[in-house]
Amino acid sequence: MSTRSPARLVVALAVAGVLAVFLLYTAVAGHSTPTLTPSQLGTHSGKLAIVGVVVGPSRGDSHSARGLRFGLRNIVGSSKVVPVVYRGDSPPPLFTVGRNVVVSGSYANGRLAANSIVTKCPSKYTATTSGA
Amino acid sequence: MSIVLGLVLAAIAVLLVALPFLREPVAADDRLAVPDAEEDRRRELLEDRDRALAALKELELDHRAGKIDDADYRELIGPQRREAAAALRALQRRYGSEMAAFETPDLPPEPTPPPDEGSPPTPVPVPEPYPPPDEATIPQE
Amino acid sequence: MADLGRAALVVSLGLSVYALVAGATAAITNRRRLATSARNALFCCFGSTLVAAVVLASALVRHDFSFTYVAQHTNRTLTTPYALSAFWGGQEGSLLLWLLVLTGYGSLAVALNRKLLRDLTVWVVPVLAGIGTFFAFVLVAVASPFGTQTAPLDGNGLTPSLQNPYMVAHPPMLYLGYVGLSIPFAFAAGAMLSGRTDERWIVATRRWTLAAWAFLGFGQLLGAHWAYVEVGWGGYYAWDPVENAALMPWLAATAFLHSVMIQERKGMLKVWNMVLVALAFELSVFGTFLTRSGVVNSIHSFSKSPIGSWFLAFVVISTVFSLALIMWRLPLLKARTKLESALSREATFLYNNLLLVALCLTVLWGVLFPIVTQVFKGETRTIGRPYYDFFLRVFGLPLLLLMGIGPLIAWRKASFRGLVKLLAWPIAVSILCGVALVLVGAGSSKPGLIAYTFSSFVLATIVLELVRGTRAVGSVFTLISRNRRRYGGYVVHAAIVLLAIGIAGSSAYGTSTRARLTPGQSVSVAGYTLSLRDVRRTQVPNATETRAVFDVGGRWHGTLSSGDNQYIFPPEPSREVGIKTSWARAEDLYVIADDVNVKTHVVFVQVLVKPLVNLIWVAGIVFLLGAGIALWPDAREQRRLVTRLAPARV
Repeated sequence: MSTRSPARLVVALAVAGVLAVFLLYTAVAGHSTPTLTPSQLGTHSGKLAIVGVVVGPSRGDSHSARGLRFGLRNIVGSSKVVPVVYRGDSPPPLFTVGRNVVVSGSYANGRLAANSIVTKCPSKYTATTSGA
Repeated sequence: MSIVLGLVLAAIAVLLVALPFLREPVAADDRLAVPDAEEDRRRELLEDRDRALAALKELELDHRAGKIDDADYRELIGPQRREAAAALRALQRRYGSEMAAFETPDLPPEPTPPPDEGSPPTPVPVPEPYPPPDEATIPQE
Repeated sequence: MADLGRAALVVSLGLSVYALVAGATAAITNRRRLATSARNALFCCFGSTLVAAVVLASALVRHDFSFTYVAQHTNRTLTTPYALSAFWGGQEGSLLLWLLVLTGYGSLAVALNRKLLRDLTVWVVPVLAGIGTFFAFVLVAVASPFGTQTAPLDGNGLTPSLQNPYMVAHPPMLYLGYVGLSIPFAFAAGAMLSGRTDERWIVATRRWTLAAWAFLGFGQLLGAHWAYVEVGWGGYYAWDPVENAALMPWLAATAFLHSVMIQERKGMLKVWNMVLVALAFELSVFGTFLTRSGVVNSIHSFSKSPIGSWFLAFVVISTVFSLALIMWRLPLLKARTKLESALSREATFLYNNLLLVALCLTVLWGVLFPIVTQVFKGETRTIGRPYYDFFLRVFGLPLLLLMGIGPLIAWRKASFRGLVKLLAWPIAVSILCGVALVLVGAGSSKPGLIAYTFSSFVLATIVLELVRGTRAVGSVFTLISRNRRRYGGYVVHAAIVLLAIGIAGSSAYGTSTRARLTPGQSVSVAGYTLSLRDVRRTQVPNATETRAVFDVGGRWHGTLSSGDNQYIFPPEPSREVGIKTSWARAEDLYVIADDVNVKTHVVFVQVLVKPLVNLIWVAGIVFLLGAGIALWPDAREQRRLVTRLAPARV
């Protein structure tokens, strides 16, 4: 019985190729955001996300015009502190100085105007003050 | 105590792993009883038969359920029946008439169509695949 | 006791290495006693791993803090269920669970098939042992759960916000799914290694695959529900890499479950099935790698350790092994028949497979994209939600449609005329549904409207199938019991439809609003009015609970509260949302008071109305029911298989 169908293979490969190009284009041009550490910011500007650890003091209120103000530095290794002004919904309850976060917004003139904060879940297991 | 238990565990494991060699220090035939070409052929034929009969049964069920109309049924039933018949004949040629008999099907009989409708001929009831032998007669290793 | 655990793992490692080497030697040289010995080694490996597991479990329950793992993951106040959940809560314990389930599943699968499929199981043993060797090695040399220390007075307790039943149920469900995919992979590899690439390996592993797939699917839904009720951001799936790590193997396994039916019926798609089963397995190990290596940013926090590079090496080696095996055995994987028509059940299954795999690879690309950009551009770029949502629609909506067409279309070749006639009622129902939905305002979201319309089409086809089948056979019980795979599959399809309706409803037709309120002020959304009555702070054991209390009027009258808990030990906050579920109105009222000021009594609140969201959870129950029907043992089928596979009588 014949089992080979070159036409089907060509069609399948063509579909796969078109799909691959489309995916690549969408991913590259469409919906991706640079996710950088404070030390990688360099000359970047515009829409991006910064991964870092929150450094204090954190001041203000995200609902107010002046926003919630804090800093971000590298989680590992030393780096400059990037000032962040966050305006919007209250930050997640786990947001606090020392927490690892991903903050998204618009970066210009050395400052991030943020509209989203995502905190990592804390370690599932932590010491109690009575014990460890 | 833990170390002793650990050693006991290891000893049990070694014993069980060595068991086949302890039971038969010298084996008359140490070859794996893998199916030979004849076994493979038999199995293929049985697979072909079961596949063809299952397809036939599904076709009949779909027709009775109204999923396949009469015209499509007439077009499909012929090749399907020929496939099933060929599978059964191949088995019969090789293994004799014991493989040829089969149970009556478990579907209700096709209702007799009214005489003034140009209906297709009543299909032959769908056979179940060859009834399995008693489990007691299946050879044990 | 830790010494016993360590010894047991060393024994497991030794046994798995023996089973690998001896098993492979026995298979190559065709030696019976050596093959039996290797098989016994696999069984004993399960035994010694079980001993290690019992040691760890016992230490957790006894709070034996001389075990470093126990001290790191439990404290004296933890109740037994949560102390036990620490087994899989930490890196080392979860790896031990992997090995335990792998050797347990593997031993059972080999034991059940050793007589009828002896030519396959002789190869399956070394493949399973190879996987087991990796995990045993990691447990012995890289991440042992049996490290010891001077016992502290107390240990690290589970974060209070994670002390809920989901912590007990969700991870083991996922592990049973992930690890379960090793069984069909091992049998597929065994089939190729032995050169016996007929359908027996599929028949032997059909239930294993289905069970693993069911566990993985249900486990994900448990996780989604957990996120919805506990994490409190109003959603249930964030396309986070760790979430995607479970979705990808599930999608590949879904494609595999469908395409094996074609191979069983028509002897087609043999290469495709081998690729799919390898893909499902590799993705399950890759998912384990993702969650432990920290290579991609995720909100899920897992301990990072050097284990990531070991896992990556294993994924690479096993992928190369799988591909090499498939390439080597290509001549044996030729199809016995060909696709006769683009309008046939075989063809629709093929289209369904292509869509499922496309969706799987889309998600994989999204997960890998940050790594790829870092490597090639020196800059990490992440892909956001819009990418996933877009492709979920592009691939998911046609999949939904195919779920309705596939079961109705004939095998081999269907006529267009016949198909249109068959689909007339479902099409009519879906058009009516679509029109009705537009009239009630559902046209505001085109993807939502399409999803609902397609869903009504699929539900109509399922109902039609049941009605027609029952008429043909006499009773619905007889119909289902004689066609368990088929009708179990239809029930699963119904679950997916419910899932689609729930997702479409809650995302496309949800409404939300935000407000700043002081006591006496109110906010309205979708027919509900919430008035802030009071702000309260209560002290409970180990926590200060702050709540904003709302009087709700309009479509429902009652009280809802939301706020946060500030735990004392450890000092962690958690958000507490207020959810009012109404089955009559088929929606949830979801309140997030994300900033409650006890001094000024000012509350910033987000109120969401999520239509049909609870269908997602109902879908989980229906999904399990469908999988259960498909898994329901069939004595007649079993006897047929025994006849076919038993050695011929002389």
